[in-house]
Amino acid sequence: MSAQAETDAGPRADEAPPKPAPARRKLTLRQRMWRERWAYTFIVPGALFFLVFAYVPMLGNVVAFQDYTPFRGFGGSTWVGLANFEAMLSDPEVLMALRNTLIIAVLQLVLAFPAPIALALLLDSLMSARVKRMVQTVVYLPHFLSWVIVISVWQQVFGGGGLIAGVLDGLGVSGFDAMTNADTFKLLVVAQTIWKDCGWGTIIFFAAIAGIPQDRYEAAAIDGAGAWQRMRHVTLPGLVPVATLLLILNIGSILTVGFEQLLLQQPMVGMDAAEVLDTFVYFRGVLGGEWGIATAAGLLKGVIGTVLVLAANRFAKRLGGEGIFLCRH
Amino acid sequence: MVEMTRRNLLGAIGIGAGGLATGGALTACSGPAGSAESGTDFAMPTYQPAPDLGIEPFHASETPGMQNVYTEPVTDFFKSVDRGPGSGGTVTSFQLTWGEPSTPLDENPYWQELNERLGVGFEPTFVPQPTFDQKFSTMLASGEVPDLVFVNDQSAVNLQGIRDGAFADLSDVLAGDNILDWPNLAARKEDIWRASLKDGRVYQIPSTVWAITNVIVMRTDLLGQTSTGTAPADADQLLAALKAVTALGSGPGGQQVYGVNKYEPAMWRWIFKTGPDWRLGDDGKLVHVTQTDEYKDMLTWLAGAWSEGVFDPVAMTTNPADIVSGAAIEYRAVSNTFTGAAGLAQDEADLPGAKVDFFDVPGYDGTAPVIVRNIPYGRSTCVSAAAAEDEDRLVEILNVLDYLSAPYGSEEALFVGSGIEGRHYTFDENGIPVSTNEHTGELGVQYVGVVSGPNDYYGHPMNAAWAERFSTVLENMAQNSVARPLEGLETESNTFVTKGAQLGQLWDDFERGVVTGRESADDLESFVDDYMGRGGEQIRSEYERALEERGE
Repeated sequence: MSAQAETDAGPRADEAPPKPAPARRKLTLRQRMWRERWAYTFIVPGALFFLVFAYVPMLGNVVAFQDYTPFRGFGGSTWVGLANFEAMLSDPEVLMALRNTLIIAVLQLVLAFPAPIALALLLDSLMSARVKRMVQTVVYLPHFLSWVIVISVWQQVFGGGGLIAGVLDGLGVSGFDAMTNADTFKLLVVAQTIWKDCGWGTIIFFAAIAGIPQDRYEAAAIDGAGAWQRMRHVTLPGLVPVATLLLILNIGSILTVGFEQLLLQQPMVGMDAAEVLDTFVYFRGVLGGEWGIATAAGLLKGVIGTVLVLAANRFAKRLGGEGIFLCRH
Repeated sequence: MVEMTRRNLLGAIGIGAGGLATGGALTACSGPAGSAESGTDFAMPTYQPAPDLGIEPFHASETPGMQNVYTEPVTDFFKSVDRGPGSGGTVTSFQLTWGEPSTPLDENPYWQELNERLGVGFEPTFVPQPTFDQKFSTMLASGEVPDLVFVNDQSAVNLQGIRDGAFADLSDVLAGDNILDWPNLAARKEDIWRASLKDGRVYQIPSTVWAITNVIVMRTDLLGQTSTGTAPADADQLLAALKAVTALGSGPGGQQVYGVNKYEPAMWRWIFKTGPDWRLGDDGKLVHVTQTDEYKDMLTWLAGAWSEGVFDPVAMTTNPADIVSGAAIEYRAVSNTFTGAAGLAQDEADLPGAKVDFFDVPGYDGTAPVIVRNIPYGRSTCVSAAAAEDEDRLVEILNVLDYLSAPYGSEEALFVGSGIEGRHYTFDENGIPVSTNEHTGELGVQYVGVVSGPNDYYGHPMNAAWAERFSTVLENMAQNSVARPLEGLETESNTFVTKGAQLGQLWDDFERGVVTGRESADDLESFVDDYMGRGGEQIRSEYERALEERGE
């Protein structure tokens, strides 16, 4: 500690006298932090938030290695090594939940991720600012509805007693019910996600579009590029950094496929179609009291997410992008 | 560290004011559910009936599963306890609420009066029903268990709390005549105590419940228009009648009508005589209901009925607000048809032209139905093990619980349930308390009091016109009722406790799938294999072991 303290004292002492400008690059991290101390102060609340609500709770993952019950607590529960992981991996429900989670995740990545980009481009191409603003407001709105409301609305439209079923009934086609069809359920989930969050997702892409220098469009127009070519060669490349960043971040949470949305609809289509890792954790842990196995499943999900986000980051860097860990000196 | 020491200590010495919990019980307590002891090593609490109500039953019955039926309200309220329960301390509780928590103490005359009567500061923690289990686990994990805790012992996490020693072992405190210090707690029969034992010990004070809580109500105005009439004798006649009602299209008030507007598995299981979830075969082996012919017949019949339009298309909804149609027959609670003010009389008042009555349940083959009786106890309350370490404190807590659990017909129950006369209720011309519908947010301060006493069917005077029919139909149901072979052993299967919710959902989904045509009844066998493979078989063997240990 004392050696550390001495080292600490050094740079601070160096800072005061106006020595012939030492090269900036030689400043240590500590020196740079001190210089930017006010900026760092602003980070404190955010860092505390993550510390208290994200990092400290991570310690609870020890439950995955225990035969845990709440009253006995972390200290009083017996340690069981990897028994929970063994039980989990031999449990057909976990495998089913993992399969469903992955299918929904891939569908969301392929269908739901590009949707806001397409919508942003579409809206950007609208000429009337008034119409654009109106459409934006309308498409943002579903984001603020809870899943309970969203699913009720979908039930009223696509359910067995809903609007479409009623119209089809009138046309002599009976039995339409998109809400209880287990075969198409995963597509339904993705469609609901797109409906709810696609509009909201356009905000960030609008910002990116607004950040594209106008002179590029002008230069392209002078070179004879039409509207389509301007979008393809100016707008889309301008969106790539943001899209890459979002893609990497999304991959990190790829296995989080909508707990509430699936829990609410599971009774309508059954576990085989709608059991995902998050609902498994809820049923087995929170309701079933098998905290160890449930936590092991949650931990597995977290580990997969971390590996994926690091892999995607590396991949993005190889492709020439910046990744998520931006370093600017 | 202090927390741990305290818990370890509790685990080591056993819990209960008597401090006499035996080593055997403790071993069972910390082991898996299946290791329960079947016998008890203490005298079961003595049964002392609640005071006579001074009114004559409209229908008296000794049939197992049937309660006396009363139509006359109690007018002379008795005093169930003479003492002041508390001596100025504080009693905390952890209790369920279905709606908003009640008005705060300083603005709540009911709560202030309750504290006055209890002689303690009653400090409840209100826990919303949808998140009860989550909050329950959090409460246990905090190590600070309130004095009185509402416990649903069919829930895995609640049961874990009992088994881990969060709650006091009351076996010795309440053994034999000891319980007579708390006359209201003593007003429950031995079978109720016996069914609620955990590992052979008393950890919870159980409520008395009706053996039959539901009935089928029919619309006689609709069924009366069919050629079958209001008393179909078997499944074929019932199907014909229900189809005919759907064919009517609409009923009084232009309301759309169907044979059935909400899918409720229980009533079909009565009619198709499937019995309880687990049946005990002659060979001593348990058979799951899905493995029986009756169940398959039921599914086939229901799928046929669905395809013929007997059901409202939204009959499978989980949202009651979706159902706006009328139905020929409907599965209802006794409490909202006969004993409550919002009963059949209200149904008829709400829809002029509608006529309703209790439906005499037929068996599908023309013989009697099979009604499965409820387990003999309902919601329960446990006492904190930490609080029970101090004997005086335990006595005070039990005094408070005894007051809150006063039986029907007592002054205490009138206050606890209805509030303050003039502010929360007034007596109507029949002499029964009627809510003023004002200040209702003040009530609901306590929900840890357990139901005591005979718990008969006290019909609301508004529904008096149906008393005869109610008595006949319920008596028939009771005469054709059976107890569950696993009564008192429900929680002895650890697999059921941990996976029951998920397996139940799997089953419910398949059943609803078959009925609506999404699945086929021909796939029942493969479903059963799947169900058994995912835990059903494990549950069966755990229950069989428990039965064996009980000596059956």
